[in-house]
Amino acid sequence: MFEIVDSPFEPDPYYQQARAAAPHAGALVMFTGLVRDLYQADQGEQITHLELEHYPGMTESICESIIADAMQRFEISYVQVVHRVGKILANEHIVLVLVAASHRRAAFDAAQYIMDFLKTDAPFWKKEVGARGAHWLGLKRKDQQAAERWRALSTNSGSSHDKQ
Amino acid sequence: MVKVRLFAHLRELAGTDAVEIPMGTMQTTQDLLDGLTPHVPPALIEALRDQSAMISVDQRYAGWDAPLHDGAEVGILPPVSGG
Repeated sequence: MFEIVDSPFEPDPYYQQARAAAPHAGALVMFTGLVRDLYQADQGEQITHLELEHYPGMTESICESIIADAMQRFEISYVQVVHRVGKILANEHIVLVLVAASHRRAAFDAAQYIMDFLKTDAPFWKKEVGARGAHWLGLKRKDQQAAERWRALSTNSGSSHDKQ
Repeated sequence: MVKVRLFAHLRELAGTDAVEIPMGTMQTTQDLLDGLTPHVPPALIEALRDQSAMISVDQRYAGWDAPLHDGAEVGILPPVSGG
């Protein structure tokens, strides 16, 4: 249940869809990531928008694999992930992760797990564009550490989407 | 032929999102990297020197010693930044 969209989206229809698809859920966790109103104070530059590129085909298979791993690892009944690509303005949604489960702990953990691996494994690239130019962002150390924490906790031999 | 897909700043440095390279005697992804020079701008080779790029073969993450086959699609992927 993974979708890439190239225009602005709102979370509400996805929430309603989850309610319908998981009518017996006792917990529904929804995370949305938004483009901050970016201002680089050190450079005195306003970022006007982000451009998000991905690897069509590989993105879908990696993200579906992350979702499958989460379904196996946690007691959850439903997952929906939506990721934006293309030109994205401040305050627009970049990503949505929605997880339904019987109990809140599994729903919270699975949503976090999915986000952590989306950050480290899914082939998306962000470019910040401002009045003075543009630059590509790389993987942040804290995001890498978040995924490593899950790998350390894993009792399995490894996740199917793991990088080599 | 091996099709090399390039993304983000690597694509911009190359001025293209894909390069086709004859299979020749290449056997692994490392051979491909070693043989890239005549096919791409020097700026791309320079950018790959820091070894932060990851590689995929047929849209699956692979190591630099992964076997290649004729018709393979190899992605050279800068550190990702989605979410």
